[in-house]
Amino acid sequence: MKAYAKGSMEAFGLLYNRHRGPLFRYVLRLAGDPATANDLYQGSWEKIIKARRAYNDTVPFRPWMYRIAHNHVMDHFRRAHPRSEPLPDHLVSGNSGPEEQLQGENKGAALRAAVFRLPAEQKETVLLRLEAGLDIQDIADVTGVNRETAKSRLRYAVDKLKAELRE
Amino acid sequence: MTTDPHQQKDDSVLEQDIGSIRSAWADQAKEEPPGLLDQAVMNRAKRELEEPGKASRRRTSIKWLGAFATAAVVVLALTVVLEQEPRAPIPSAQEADGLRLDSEAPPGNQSPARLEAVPQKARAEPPAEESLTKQLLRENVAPAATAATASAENNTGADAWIKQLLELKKARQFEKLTSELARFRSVYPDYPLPPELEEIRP
Repeated sequence: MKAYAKGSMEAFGLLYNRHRGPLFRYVLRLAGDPATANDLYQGSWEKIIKARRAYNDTVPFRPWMYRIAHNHVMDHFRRAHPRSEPLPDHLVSGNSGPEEQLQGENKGAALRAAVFRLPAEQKETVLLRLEAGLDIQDIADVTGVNRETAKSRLRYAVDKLKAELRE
Repeated sequence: MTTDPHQQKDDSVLEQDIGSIRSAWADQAKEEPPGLLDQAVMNRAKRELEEPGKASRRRTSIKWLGAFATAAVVVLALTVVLEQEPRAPIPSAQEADGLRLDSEAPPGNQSPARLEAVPQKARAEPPAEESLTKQLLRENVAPAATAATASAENNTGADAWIKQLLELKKARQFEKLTSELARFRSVYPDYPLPPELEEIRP
């Protein structure tokens, strides 16, 4: 990121290719529909690009990037649903699409449907772990909570997912 | 991170559980951003690198425009002030209305549309009151008894008007004469009147 901030487009290309897939899936799982996910993904990158000079290379890039994306997604949902808590559960859980209707057919689809049904805070925590690969401390930093809270959310989410997979 | 052995154990159990979920999670389809989206992000990143120069040029031009706009406003204001010239006393819009009504047929015959339209016009162009009076006189075709008054005022000034006033006196139209004389005084307050009109007080 520092190299890009100094003017290297090549450095940005490498960075982008490394993170594009996980970041896109993280945003997609949170948003629940591809159109919104596309907007949020592009918006997240725009904010990352704009913040390039503020990036301090003493902290790892990935949590810093996900924090920007997380805040962007939260801002979007707060604007769209001002009274709702951080994420609109009704938008992305319970009301599953055709793909999720097939949840019994394979483990992956069943797991994805189970993630969709998690409460918003547990969902974003588990997605930051499964898609972004962040550890508990980084998840706590990204979501703005302490480590124990992040861990507790992850524990609850994992227990529910395990139970879903056993059924 | 943590040195508490109990917590470390707890963390490792959690990690094991996450590991089992992760393998199932990895089975599902790996969605990727559309190619167009990739291109849009790359273009944006490229533009951002080029932008600082552009942004500073834009700021400079905005500053220059601000200064130019201020100067233009000052010049315009000065021009307007300098263009102002002292004007001869002129009848007000109300007097113009009175003139119009005087020069028309009796009120019963007046068209309401005309009654309304003319004062609006008078109000719309306040600086041109003198020419408005003339215009009113031209537009409102007066009956024979007042046609001369209109033309006197239209053609000129006080002398022709006085001539007309004298004619009114000769015709013994005293009511009309009084009102016309009052109007004359409002337009030409200091103009000397002939003795035969001087004795008539409005």
